[in-house]
Amino acid sequence: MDNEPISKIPDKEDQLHFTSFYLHDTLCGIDISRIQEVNTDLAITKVPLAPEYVIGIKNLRGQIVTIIDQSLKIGYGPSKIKKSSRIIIINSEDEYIGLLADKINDIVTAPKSAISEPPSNIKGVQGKFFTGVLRNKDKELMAILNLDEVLAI
Amino acid sequence: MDDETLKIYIEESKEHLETIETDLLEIERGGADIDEDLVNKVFRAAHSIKGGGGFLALDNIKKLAHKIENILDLIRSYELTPTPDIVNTLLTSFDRLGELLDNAADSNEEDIEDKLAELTALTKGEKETAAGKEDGILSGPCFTVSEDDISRARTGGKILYILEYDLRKDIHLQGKTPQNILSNLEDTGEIISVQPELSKVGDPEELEPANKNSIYALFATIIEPDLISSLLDLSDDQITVIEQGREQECPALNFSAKKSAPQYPDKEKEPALEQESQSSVKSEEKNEKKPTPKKKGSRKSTDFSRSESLRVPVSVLDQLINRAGELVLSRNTLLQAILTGGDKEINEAGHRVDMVTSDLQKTIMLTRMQPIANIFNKYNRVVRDLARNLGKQIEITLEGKDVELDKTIIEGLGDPLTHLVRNSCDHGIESPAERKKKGKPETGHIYLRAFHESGQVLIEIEDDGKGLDPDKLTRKALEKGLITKNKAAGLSVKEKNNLIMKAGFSTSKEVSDVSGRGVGMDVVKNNLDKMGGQIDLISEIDRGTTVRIKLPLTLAIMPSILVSSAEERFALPQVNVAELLRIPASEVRDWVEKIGEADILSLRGELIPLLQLSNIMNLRSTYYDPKTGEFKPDRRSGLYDNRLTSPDSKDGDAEMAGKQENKPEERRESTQSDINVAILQAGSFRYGLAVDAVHDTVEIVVKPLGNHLKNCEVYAGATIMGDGRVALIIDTAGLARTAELQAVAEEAKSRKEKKQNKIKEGATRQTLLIFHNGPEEYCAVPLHLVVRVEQVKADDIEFKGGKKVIRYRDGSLPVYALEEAANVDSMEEREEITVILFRVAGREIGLLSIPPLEIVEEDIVMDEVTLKQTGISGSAIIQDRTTFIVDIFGLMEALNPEWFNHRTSRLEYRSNVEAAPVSSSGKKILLAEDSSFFRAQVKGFIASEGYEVIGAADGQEAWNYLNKNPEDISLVVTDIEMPNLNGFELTRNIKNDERLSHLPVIALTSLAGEEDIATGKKVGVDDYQVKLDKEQLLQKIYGYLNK
Repeated sequence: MDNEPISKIPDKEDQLHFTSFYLHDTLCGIDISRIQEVNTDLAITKVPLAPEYVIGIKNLRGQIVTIIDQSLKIGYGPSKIKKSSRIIIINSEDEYIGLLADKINDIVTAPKSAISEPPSNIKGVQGKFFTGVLRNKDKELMAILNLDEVLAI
Repeated sequence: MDDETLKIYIEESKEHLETIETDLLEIERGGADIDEDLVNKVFRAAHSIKGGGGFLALDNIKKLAHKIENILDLIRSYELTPTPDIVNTLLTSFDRLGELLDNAADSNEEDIEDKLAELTALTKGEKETAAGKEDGILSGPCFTVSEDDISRARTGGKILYILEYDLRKDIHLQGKTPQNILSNLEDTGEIISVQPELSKVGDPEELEPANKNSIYALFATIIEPDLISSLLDLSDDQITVIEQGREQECPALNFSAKKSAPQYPDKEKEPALEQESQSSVKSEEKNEKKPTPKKKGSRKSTDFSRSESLRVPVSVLDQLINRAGELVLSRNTLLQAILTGGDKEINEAGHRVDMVTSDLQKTIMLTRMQPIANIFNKYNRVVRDLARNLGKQIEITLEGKDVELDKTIIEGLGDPLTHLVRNSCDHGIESPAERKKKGKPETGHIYLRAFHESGQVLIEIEDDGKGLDPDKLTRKALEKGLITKNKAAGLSVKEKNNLIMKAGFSTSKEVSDVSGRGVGMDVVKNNLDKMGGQIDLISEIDRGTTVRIKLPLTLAIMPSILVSSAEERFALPQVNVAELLRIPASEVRDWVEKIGEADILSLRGELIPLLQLSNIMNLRSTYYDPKTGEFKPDRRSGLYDNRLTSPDSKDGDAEMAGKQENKPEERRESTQSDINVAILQAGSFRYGLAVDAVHDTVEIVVKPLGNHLKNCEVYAGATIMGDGRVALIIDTAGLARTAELQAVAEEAKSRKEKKQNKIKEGATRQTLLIFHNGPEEYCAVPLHLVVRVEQVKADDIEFKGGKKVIRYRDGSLPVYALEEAANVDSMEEREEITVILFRVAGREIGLLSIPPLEIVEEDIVMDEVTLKQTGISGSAIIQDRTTFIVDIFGLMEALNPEWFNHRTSRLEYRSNVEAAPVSSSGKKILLAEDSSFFRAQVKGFIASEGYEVIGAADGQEAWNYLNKNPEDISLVVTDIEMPNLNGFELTRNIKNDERLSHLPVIALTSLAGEEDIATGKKVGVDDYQVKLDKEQLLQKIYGYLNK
């Protein structure tokens, strides 16, 4: 965590990097190695009759990307697209999927040992979407998303 | 063995097999006149398969290929003439080989003994005759050696070779003797053994020219394989390297220790594996090209290149790399321009990128292109085999094998083409005897052509067979209920022939082995539809049939029509769009009818379901407001509601809201509020799709949708538009399914099937409007009697002067409930009531019913006895429910007898009848009507007036009756659409017959079209009446009979 000695950072084996972002007021993080890019282009085409959590599709350099409202999927209620919104592009099983985030925060680096189990009160239905929690340098608690669950169909 | 090697081997072997068929057939055609090059080619193919099989320990494959090779060798050496039987065995053996290869991993467990025996039999049979002729001359080496000999010879890094000397060419013509040769060899290495024994070699001058005797030497030397051929002045194929450690596997070596039985000398001189596994030897390349030692003919063997497995020409790859390079340069220019330049530079750079991209795309497309020969070639074999099986003589000519098509299309084309070619052989080309009788050459011909035409590829399958019989096809289609009689009458010959492609049609009288295995041309059509192909059929009896298939060059680019709904753009694949309609706002009611909740579009007499894209997609429909130039939300509740003629009493809050805001004259009368409809083809049925706007046609690149959208069957994919945004591509069949149209269509189909069973029982197909009186009380009226249907609220019904009325248009509409006259349950009290409007005795009346309404097309067997009562003419089982058939005229007569009072003349007539019943013998009426339902109905009410009615099931029957009893009949009532002899023809016959021309003819029709009336007048129809308008009809009958 923040009081971990900096000298620990060179030990890359242990070190994990997360891109942190907000879903409504909740700070969440995704393992940076899974992220292809963060995109600002919010020109999204709606897909009528699609599952509710699919906001639409967009063009990413000639590829069709499905955009998922992760906030809705996790159960935090639907996100509204606003100026600060960003799309986190994930390369998953031969296709690109975009996750809508309300606001991108910074990159959080922490050793594996700093991650704690998700508190028991967020277990339950929502619990499956989280693999752990981490306190960032602003002492803010960040929930680490279980990407596979978020991307699940 | 590793999987990769095995994969490559199988792929390669398959490639060999592909070309083999054609070559073998060519060999067969040549007969005794053997084309050695061709035989060698096939030989090499078998040989490579064998070699690889041995290397990969695929014993069965190796054995089978080996046996095949033996036969080919005999053919090559003119010892065996390739008769059709032999070629057949070879073909089936190669087939078996293909099967083994398909399942290479388990091929060793397969039983191939029968094939091996068959092949061995061929060699043996030939050998016996050959042996008799050639007197025991050995035709292949078989060295009997001991292992010791071999290992000793190997010492000092020597390499073991089998050398082949042709007695004639290499020895005598060079002025040498075998002894010279051998002593020369002794100088460079060690001769272990020589075959045959030199004493056996006769005087070369005495040898037959065809006798290609050779001397084989097992030779050990230190000379490397790449040098030995030039040193010994032998060609590569005369030299075989025996690899160390592989001696046991060399069939040419017979180890004395093994004591093998003195078999027939193996024709195989050297397995390929020795050559191919000799990778340590520098001359690998040469060795690969080197077939086994052979007799004379083999000298001509040419290289077979491995490029067969290279699917993309290198030139295309080079082009691709060039284009990619250009693209990078263009990008750099563009980036530079964006950073520093002005608009002009950016424009120029952008233009450049555009051009390069198009080029690049075209080039990439080329890599997907494959010659159609890949599938065409197999038809040589298909046709040959079929001809043999069917006892016909058929030749096939392939044209345009170089035409290239997208890989996907080529792959998808195989099955449909096979089906078509089979059809031509089986049903098209006649037997030789039949052809002779017709004065045609005994050999039938099939042409398979491919060529380019206006950016598409055309494929033609033409035969000079017996052609299709359009009338037979029509009859069959009628029989199967695929078309209606109405429709059949109006078909051109070409359209009749194309009936063969309707689903559920198969012309073959019995299912034959060759074609018609329960799948028909409709499957062909469906397969082609999927690829965006079109199929067309031209046929002339006894001249032949030509099937023409039009295919797009590629599937990746799809011409589409862009439409929009609620500001969202969608692409409709052009192949699915039959036509585009623009219905003026003022005419919507003429085109669109509402039945229950569904909109129905009547297009040139055909009723097709109409969907609204925005409804299906749950989007808010918009319309273009010309004043503001914006799209505004559409307040219409449906297409039918065009707000011009909406009755005030009409439903809905939306309606009310709309009314408050808009004065009528502001409503949507401008052209912008026209309805745009695309008529779409989804498999076998059509539907209309109303969209807010139709834009351009564009060529789009189809991109697949992600996994999350897999379940949205509405879409066929997505595409990226010029502005970089994405538009969805509509899957017309999926859309129909989502809107549950398919279910309806399938239901209709299953009913059609039911009909086929029922038709024998005298049932007839009717379109009925089903409504409810009570929740469990089903009633039906023939749909064509219904003027329209209105939804009203219970409160809208007013009681005025003891009658129920609703306000309707500018007046009051009297409404009735069935229970008022008929003994049925009281109508359930509901808030929503459906009023069915009829026209009776010149007035519009409404019949109250409970929603929902339903339209069914059913085969009705009417029971006119059990439930008959006032207002109910009988009952029928419709959709497994007993349903009253409502007699709306009877009902009205019971309720409002005064409406009918003005027809006093008829009442007079009635009293006449009562007064003089005898006269009815002179008042016989002939009723021609093919539908038993209508015949019973009409007959019933004419008979109830005291006339005698003679029923006839069609025009012919009626005519026959009239012919026999010309004096009997006083009046003819006839339907128009009837089989055999239709109403017009019947009338013409009557009017042209002196005895009968005085007879009045009243034509009955369900829909009196003006055209029909004109035709009717021309042939002499005296009057037209709408079917089941009892009052009018009786009035007219009376009128004519009392003239």
